[in-house]
Amino acid sequence: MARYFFNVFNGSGLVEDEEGQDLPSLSAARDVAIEGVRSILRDDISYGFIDFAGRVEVLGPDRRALATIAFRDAVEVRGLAGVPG
Amino acid sequence: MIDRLLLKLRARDDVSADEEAILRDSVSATRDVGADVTVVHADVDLVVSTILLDGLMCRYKDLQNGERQITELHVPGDFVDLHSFPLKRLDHNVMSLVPSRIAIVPHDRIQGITETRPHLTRLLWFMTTLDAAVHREWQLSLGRRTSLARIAHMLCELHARLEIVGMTDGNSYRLPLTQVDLAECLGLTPIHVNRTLRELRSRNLVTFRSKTVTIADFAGLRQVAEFTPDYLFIEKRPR
Repeated sequence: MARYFFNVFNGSGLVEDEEGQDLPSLSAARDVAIEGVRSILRDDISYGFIDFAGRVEVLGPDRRALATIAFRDAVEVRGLAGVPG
Repeated sequence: MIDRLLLKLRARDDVSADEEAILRDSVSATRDVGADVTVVHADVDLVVSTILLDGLMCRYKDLQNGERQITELHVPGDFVDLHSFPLKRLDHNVMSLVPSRIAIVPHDRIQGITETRPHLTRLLWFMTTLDAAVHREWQLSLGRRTSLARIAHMLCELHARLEIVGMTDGNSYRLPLTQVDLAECLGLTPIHVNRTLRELRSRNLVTFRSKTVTIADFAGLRQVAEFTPDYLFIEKRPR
């Protein structure tokens, strides 16, 4: 187990994770980041928009960035091509 | 030892000296438990109920994929599983979220109360119906409130419940929960909880730092949450 931190950058700036979570691997931490982004996007949709302009940085125990998850990469967007502008 | 339970009851009705003595005598033992210990397991026959004396506990249910929903938080003074007396087993688990101190009340002593003390029996009954009211409010939150309102509501509720048992300091109280615990209460993810807490802070409504909640704007927070304490029945009347 190691402690990973998840900093969120989006329209309202940086939301720093001061607490972190103990997780078995970087892969598990990436999954946590993806679930976090999806949870935020679900909230956006309930307000009638989706803001893909954001990312979550996954930091390790020494607070060094290990991975970045762009909001856009946390979901697969389907059907847009067929929708008339 | 059960002073917080008495504070909780006396905020709702009189408890006579006799009744207080019976409640005190109903405790057969006390026990210290560490953090994250499942104290009561679902689907196990039970012969005792548990009062939380110190710490913080929760009722929870898990899905097979590991997703957990905390269905109620318990603060000191709460009987965490009084409903196990009539149910005989639980449909959910009860866990300590932080190191906690508990009191054990054997079911046969509760049985004795129900057979000889009608008013005290009604007070015990009141507490299980109060838990049901809290569950209904959480259902409303989980099903309908926005994430912002959901967190705001939980922070208002905990202030109200902790105030009754003398565990608030003005607009502030200790809340030794992690983001993961909060997420499991709120049906959100820890990352989302963190962002939403930031939103509440930037609106100057409430801060949650160093395990301490400080409500900066009570009226504003209640408005965001649509919180009224009606469902907590904090009114002293004959029951």
